[in-house]
Amino acid sequence: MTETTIDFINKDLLGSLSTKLAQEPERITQAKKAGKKVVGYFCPHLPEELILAADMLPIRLTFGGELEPVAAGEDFLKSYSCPFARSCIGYRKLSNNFYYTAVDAICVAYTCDSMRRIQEYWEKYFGIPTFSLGVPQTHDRFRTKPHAIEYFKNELKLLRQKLADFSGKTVTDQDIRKSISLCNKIREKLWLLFEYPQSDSTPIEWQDVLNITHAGFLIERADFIVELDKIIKELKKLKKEDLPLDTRPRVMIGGSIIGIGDQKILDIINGAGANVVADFTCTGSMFSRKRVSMPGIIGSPMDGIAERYLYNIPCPFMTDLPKRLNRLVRIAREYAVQGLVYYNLKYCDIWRSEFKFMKEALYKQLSVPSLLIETDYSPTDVGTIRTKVEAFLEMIGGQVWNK
Amino acid sequence: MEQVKLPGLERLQFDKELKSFDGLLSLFLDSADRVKTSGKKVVAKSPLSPVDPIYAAGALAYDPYTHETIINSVIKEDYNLTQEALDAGLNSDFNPWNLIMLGSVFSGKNEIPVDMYSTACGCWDDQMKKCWQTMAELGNSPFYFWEIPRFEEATEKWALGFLKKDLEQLFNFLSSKTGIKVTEEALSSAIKQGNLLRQDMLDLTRLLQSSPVPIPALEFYIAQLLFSDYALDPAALHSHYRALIEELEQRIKKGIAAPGITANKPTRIYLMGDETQEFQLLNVIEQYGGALVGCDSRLSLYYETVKEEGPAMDALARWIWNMPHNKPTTARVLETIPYIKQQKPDAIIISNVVGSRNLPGAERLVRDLIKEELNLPVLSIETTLPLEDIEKIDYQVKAFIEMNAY
Repeated sequence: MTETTIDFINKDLLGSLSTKLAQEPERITQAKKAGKKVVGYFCPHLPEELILAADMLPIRLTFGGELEPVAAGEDFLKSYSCPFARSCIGYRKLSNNFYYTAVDAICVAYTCDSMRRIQEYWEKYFGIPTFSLGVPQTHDRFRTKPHAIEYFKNELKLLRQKLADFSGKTVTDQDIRKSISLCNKIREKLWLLFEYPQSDSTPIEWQDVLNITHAGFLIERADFIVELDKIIKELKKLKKEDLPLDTRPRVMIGGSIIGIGDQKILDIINGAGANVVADFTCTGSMFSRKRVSMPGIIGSPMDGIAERYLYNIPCPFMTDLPKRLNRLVRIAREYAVQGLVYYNLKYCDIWRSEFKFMKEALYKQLSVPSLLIETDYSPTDVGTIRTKVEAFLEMIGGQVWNK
Repeated sequence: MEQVKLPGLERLQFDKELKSFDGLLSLFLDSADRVKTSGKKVVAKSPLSPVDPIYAAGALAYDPYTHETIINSVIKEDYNLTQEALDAGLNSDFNPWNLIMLGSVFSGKNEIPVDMYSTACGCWDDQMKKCWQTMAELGNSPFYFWEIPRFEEATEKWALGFLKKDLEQLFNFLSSKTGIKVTEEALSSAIKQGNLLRQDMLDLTRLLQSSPVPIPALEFYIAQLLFSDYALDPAALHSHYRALIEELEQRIKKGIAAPGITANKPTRIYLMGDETQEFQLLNVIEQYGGALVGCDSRLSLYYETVKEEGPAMDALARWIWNMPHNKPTTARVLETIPYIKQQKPDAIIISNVVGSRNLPGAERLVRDLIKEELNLPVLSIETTLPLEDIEKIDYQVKAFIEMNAY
């Protein structure tokens, strides 16, 4: 896996995007030469609007699926820690992935233990500035903690100031409004694409939409919108009645982060004859869910950012389990899912400890069964996982969801 | 009456001459009986979650992580409990302290019955938070998470504001369950009581600065572990701590070393990191010529006393926010270094529990910072359940002490 390769299934439709992605390292290199700064981040709780508003290039650093960076990361994190987190450090140490070496600073949302460690190691051993963002963990769906959002707003203001200082540019509310508008456009278009697989006659598969989303973590955002428009225009030309009916079992993938290039579980599911149609992961549709509401002339755009980034990302580092369960069930219903494959990266405790609850919620409310797959980036367990997935699909294959 | 067998205790070597420690251990072992007759509600909290709010609400704080693991794993050696935790949805690669705790609760073998769960969440230990969520959800018990925001000096104003609001909500929750309103007076009183105990631990730690070291490693280690919930009886624990301190002061006056310390000039060891279930480690340190002069596994709870002047809530919030374990690793280590220095150690052992992601995740950073700041030799060890790693640790500690002996 190189940093410019994302394996799109629908190559005809996505050729232009693929070319753009391949050109991105050179474009970023030129931008840096011209004085532009590049800021990396990992978690979806970090509003890239603030990086864009400070006239810097945001890159979401979520490559995964490779063994070498995991091994390199073990110089810092123990072997019994999350392989994605080890990769996040390992890529930078190896200096063989353009994006991890291109960043001039990183922003870290205080979410899980691993994320906080990544920041500490980057700061100490790679010597680049790191900026933290505190995210309240204990608010609930009834919003009984109004002080949580007040706290988060203050954290966002501080981050905004730090980014402005780092870029050397004054960040105005108008700059923020512009970047919100840009990111909202991306979210709207991505969400449109993620809705296609709700139908069993879709011109674009969920896997392609996931890859498009991943490409959007790297490509300059205005260019990405152009590419999204091209894709959507092509898709709109196709009529549903002309598309073949997809009769494969409809599967939802949920759980730990699926990094760019982390194809193991997806390849196994596809190879076993299932169709992934929906997800419950932070690098999939969760990234584009919900716009930032734009305030009127008087209101602060920071309020909309706080609202969107605090209440709309269902990461289990937060304590509000019922909210996540409701959302999971809703997605399963909307996408007529027949089974959940719960992808748990080894040592990802926050997702692992919620599997039991998610499995029960889906089964009780929709009679949808779940399969837990605990794995890492090693290929050694592919055979075992394939057998499990095949047995699971055989079990759910006979079930037809009554839409 | 048939004598209850406690195989784990029989394996350990205690200081039989240290009479005051017997009282301390009995306080711990008898706590279940006391709780049952107390008539007070029991609130389960995690080890580093401060207990002043719980005692202010007239309830008893209970740390099942420490209590049930010592009882069921260390003393009774009942490791089958981990299966109960797996059935509850945890994974076998979790921290064994958590596995034993959940196993005890779900098998009904927990000594202390829990009325509600309420613990602090902060920038440390996700696994603990998820265990609390699992215990409360599956046990269908009332629970309330309160939150300690991340530490960065620039955020003080709004972080403390947030924390105080969260504490107010915690008090409302506790009051609704205990029927006792948490007043300013009750909170001040709980803080004063907690300060007596915090001062006890600071005094006890100060005694370890002496040479010869008057208290054996094992006894000190257990004494500080019991601090996390004030042993469900703060007044009694304070009394036992004072008795222990007085006895140790007598030893210092007479120039007597703890009997387990065999070397004339022992290598002074400071223990950092995760608390280990392998209590034999403490015996092993002395067996090979070392002496324990400090341990930071509960230091966050007594790093200083809470200010008693001014509004109690303000003082408590500030103290909680500044607890060392709430800080990023570099800040935490730099803040801990003065505590380590005053114990005059010759070497550091960093304890990692396999399956814990919190402190082991930062171990490399801690090791390097210790070397940079103190230039002391560091040994990293890893443990799981008792007896599983003792042979390896025995070799490691022996070699480490030999290399650094005078």
